[in-house]
Amino acid sequence: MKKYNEINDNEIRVISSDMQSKAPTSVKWYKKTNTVWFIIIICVIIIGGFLYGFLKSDRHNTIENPLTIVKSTESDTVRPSTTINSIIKKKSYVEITDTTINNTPFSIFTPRFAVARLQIGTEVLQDTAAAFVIQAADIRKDNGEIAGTYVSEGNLICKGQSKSGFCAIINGSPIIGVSDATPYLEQAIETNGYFFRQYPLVVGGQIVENKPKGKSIRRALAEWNNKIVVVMSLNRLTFHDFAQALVDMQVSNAIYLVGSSSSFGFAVDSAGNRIEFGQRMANAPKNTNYIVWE
Amino acid sequence: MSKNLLFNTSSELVCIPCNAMVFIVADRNYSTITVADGSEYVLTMQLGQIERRISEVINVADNRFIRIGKSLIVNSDYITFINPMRQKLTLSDCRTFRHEVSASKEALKALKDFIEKEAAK
Repeated sequence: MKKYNEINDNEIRVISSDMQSKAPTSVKWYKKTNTVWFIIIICVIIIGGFLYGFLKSDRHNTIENPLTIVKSTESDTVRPSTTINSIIKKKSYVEITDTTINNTPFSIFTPRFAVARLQIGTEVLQDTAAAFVIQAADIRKDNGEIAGTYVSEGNLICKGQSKSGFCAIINGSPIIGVSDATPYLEQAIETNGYFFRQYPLVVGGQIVENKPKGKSIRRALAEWNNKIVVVMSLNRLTFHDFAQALVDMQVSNAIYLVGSSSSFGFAVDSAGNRIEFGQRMANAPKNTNYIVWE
Repeated sequence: MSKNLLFNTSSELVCIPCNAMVFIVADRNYSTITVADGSEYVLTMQLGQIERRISEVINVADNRFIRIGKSLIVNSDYITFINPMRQKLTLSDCRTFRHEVSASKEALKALKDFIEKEAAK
């Protein structure tokens, strides 16, 4: 009996209830096994959560590791009982989830074990160390400059206030908000952080109306379930419909990212596969800028 | 009595009587169900998963639902026109709706043969 997905395009198959009974296991046994597995998985998750919490609180304690010895800065003598903290950096990747909201397909990109920054220029698209690259601030059509205030590595690149939404990246973590004047701008400058402005879409779970009309592929940087994610529409939507979908998804705050099918970027999943989206433009403006997670 | 097909996500529930389902077309990780009233529902399920769900719900003697290739499931009660050479398949209730879908010549030929055999019984 063929499995459900084993069919080629030249074949047809009548769907019958016999498919269920001809499955490797009977219906009752399958359902019973399904419930048992569900309980086992829940127990594993609970135990895993306890262990994670225990290990996390224990991370600050000194660890004696006889295999890895770090030289003290005060002495050249290596002491066998030197206590060290070993930090292992996990490889960053992006968790990609497909979902539907209001009957419209979306993809949610969640960076894992990654640190964020901003970068100007399309060279970053060739960066093999980056896990996720997506366009951030808009480019002004009149002079080719970045629209709105932009800070990179603590340097104020340009100033403007065309949009009230902002993203500040402080110590590698994005913070999203809506404010004409925000202390996060000064903090980004003082801490060698990053800052850019964009249209606000959702504030405190409430929709924000914006001026631009028309439909396009939409993208947003959002706070969702206490995580920073990027939400991307697969269909062309208006600003309003996109923001409404974010609200329905229970996003707390969200700002717009450069959308349209011409906005190119990529994400690397846990298997190391590079998933590209948008179209790569041959003559992208020199100030095309990206949020990069690495 | 027609049983219902139930699909749920974290935020939505879709419940469709089997005899109202006209066809389902799959596109990568998404499947779109077209219903007799003209509605369309997009699900984050692959076609194989939907096929399994249908098989769990229908009766033993029910052989209306036919999978055609990798990306299409149709309710044969609504098949009104098959042209394998032009790769056209029309689904309609002959009153309120009409949909045209496409499949491979070989699959539509097999479908045509199957329906002819069923009609001859």
